[in-house]
Amino acid sequence: MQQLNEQLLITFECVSAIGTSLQLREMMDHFLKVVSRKMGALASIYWTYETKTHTYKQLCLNGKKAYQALFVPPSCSTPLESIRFDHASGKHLLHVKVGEDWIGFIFQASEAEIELIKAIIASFESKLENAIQACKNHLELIEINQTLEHRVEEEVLKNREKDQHILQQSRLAQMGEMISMIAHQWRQPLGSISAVAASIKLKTSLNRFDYTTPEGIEASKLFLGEAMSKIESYVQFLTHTIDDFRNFFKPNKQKESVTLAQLVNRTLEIIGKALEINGITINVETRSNHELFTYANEVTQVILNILKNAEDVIKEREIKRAQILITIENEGSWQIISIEDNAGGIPEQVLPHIFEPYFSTKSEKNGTGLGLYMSKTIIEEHCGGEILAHNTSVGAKFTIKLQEG
Amino acid sequence: MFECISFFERIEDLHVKLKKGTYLLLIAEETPFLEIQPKEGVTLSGAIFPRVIFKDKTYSQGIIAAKLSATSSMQIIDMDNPQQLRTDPNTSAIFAIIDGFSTQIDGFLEEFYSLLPEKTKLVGGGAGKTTSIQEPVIFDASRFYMNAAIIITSLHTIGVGVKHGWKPLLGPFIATSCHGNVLEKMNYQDAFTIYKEAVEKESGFCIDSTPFFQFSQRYPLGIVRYNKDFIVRELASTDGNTIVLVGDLDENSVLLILKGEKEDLIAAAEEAAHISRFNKEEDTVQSILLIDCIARYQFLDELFPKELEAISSVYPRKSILWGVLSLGEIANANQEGIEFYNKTCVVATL
Repeated sequence: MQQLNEQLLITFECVSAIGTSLQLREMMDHFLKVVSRKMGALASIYWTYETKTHTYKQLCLNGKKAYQALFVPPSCSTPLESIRFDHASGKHLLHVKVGEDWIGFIFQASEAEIELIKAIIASFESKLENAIQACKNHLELIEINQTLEHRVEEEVLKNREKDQHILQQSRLAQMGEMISMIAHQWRQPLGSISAVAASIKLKTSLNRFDYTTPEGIEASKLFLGEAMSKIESYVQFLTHTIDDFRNFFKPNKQKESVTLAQLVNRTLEIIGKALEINGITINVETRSNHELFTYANEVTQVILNILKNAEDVIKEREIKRAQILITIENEGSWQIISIEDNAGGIPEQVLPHIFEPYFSTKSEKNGTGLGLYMSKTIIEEHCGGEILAHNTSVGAKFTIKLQEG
Repeated sequence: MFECISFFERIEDLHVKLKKGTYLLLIAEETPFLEIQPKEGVTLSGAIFPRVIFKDKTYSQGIIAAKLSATSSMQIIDMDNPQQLRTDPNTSAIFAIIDGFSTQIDGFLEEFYSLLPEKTKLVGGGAGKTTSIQEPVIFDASRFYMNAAIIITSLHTIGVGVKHGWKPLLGPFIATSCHGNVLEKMNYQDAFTIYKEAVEKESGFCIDSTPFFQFSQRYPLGIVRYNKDFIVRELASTDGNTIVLVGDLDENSVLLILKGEKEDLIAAAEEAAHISRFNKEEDTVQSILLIDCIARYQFLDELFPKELEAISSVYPRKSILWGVLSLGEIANANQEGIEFYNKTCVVATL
């Protein structure tokens, strides 16, 4: 009875030594010290399992260092609880597996006494295992906290890089569209130049001018002069078009005072011809002509993008009597431009997602899914305005609101 | 370990009588002592204790000079830094004298034990004065040290016996709250309240009207260990709620209130001597080193010489019994960790 009492009390002391710290080494050091002191161990050891290397690492050694060599590091073949007698030293070794880790003790005692000690340790083994796990979790949490700031910085950097990437992609997509628009703009003047050149070539090859007479020479001069003037005029048009596109693409981070009507005109200079070729009628209603102080090129880019989307959907749906209505008005201090087409509108399930990056309904046509995302970024983040989209009875309507002044 | 043990009444005698060699000096507290004249060829270190023991007597004044044998060496180390210890792997015995009032005794002994060679046996005790004030009580020829320890290592084997003779009176109690050597709560109540109730009930003492020393020296505490004798902890003082002990205590330790009978203590001292002498042939016993607690001396009072007699009776007549009455005793009797004992008798057969 007295021995049982003593065992219970010592068990209480050992259990009380569990979990006294969340620092694994400190906790196990204290635990081994108390157990060794109370049970009379000559030395004790704790090996922790390293999951990364699948090896055991000695974390604590308590007692006489001279006995350290007697401890045999655990391996997968070590029995869960074992008592071994070391003949050379005359000492008993007790190894106990606690979760994935091991504790070991050296005793100068009989095997029967060590069996009892083993039973006492077994009675609180699961508590010790939980305490060890708590310490490991705590350590992991500290490490996560320590690296969290670093990880946030990394993520912010990644996001910045992603934004840059998106911007780059968007620019490339726009350039592709621009080249298409340039092609539309140039087709007619180039055709005209070609026609003038062909007529010169034809008249020359057919000897239509009689260079032997002064009248013939004069007629030839007149013809060539007119032809050259036409070519000059077409080339000037081409140059003007290139200037328009170049100005549009020129990185211009300066705000300027401009009216929405001016921005619409600039846009139509670029895309107007393409719309016209596709049989799309543009109606512009200017009800307000107040100036804005904003990034003109960027807003032009947004208007252009909306018009281009309208053109694409009109062509895709083969809309007869296609129309785009551009309305410029004001509402308090807000200048508002609405662009409404008659192409039937945006499907309801698609509408909530149109401003998300990489969202496109025209994948087959090389849509990048970045146009409206960039438009929203430009209007809301750069220009401090608002961009909205909804369906009307005839089609989709985009509304851009910008502050006056 | 030692080749010659001598007793001197006055410090001045040392200069005249010590021959070339290395000496350990054990000086009784009341010995007039300011400095020791240096002498060529004489190296010495020493410590002050409440009393010294030589043959069948104890002295409050006087010096024991123990000359180290050729196979022994002596060093003073800082108790903050036990790593300074230099030991031969073949060291069989260590005599350690520590600063009995150091606050680092537990940590020092733990670290010190970890550095000992495999089969080394150790005895020792706490130096200091009964004034209960920490002073520099360890010295060598050049200076005094505080918070230091004298370590004498030897290749000779020694026998060690540790016994106290105190018997469990009440318990067990759990030290539910303690810091260092201050026991705050036992069984979740103020430690002194529990102690007082228990002792008054068992002894008939009225503790409030009895001087603290009178009951505390008779009823110390015992720290329970598994399958081993408990460790005695002496009560140093109380503020009416907590109890200050002579030596640290782990929280959640299992405690007993002990009771001492003089006959039991004397019998225990004799048993310690028997254990210490075990298997030692008569002609191999050079001397008997006794580290006995000053509190035992005070408790046994006029019967203390009986304790010395009891110990001497175990050894051949010619064996010299010498040592100190200390402030805490230390030993690692069973190769386990070095324990810091109170009210205990440590007998080393040299």
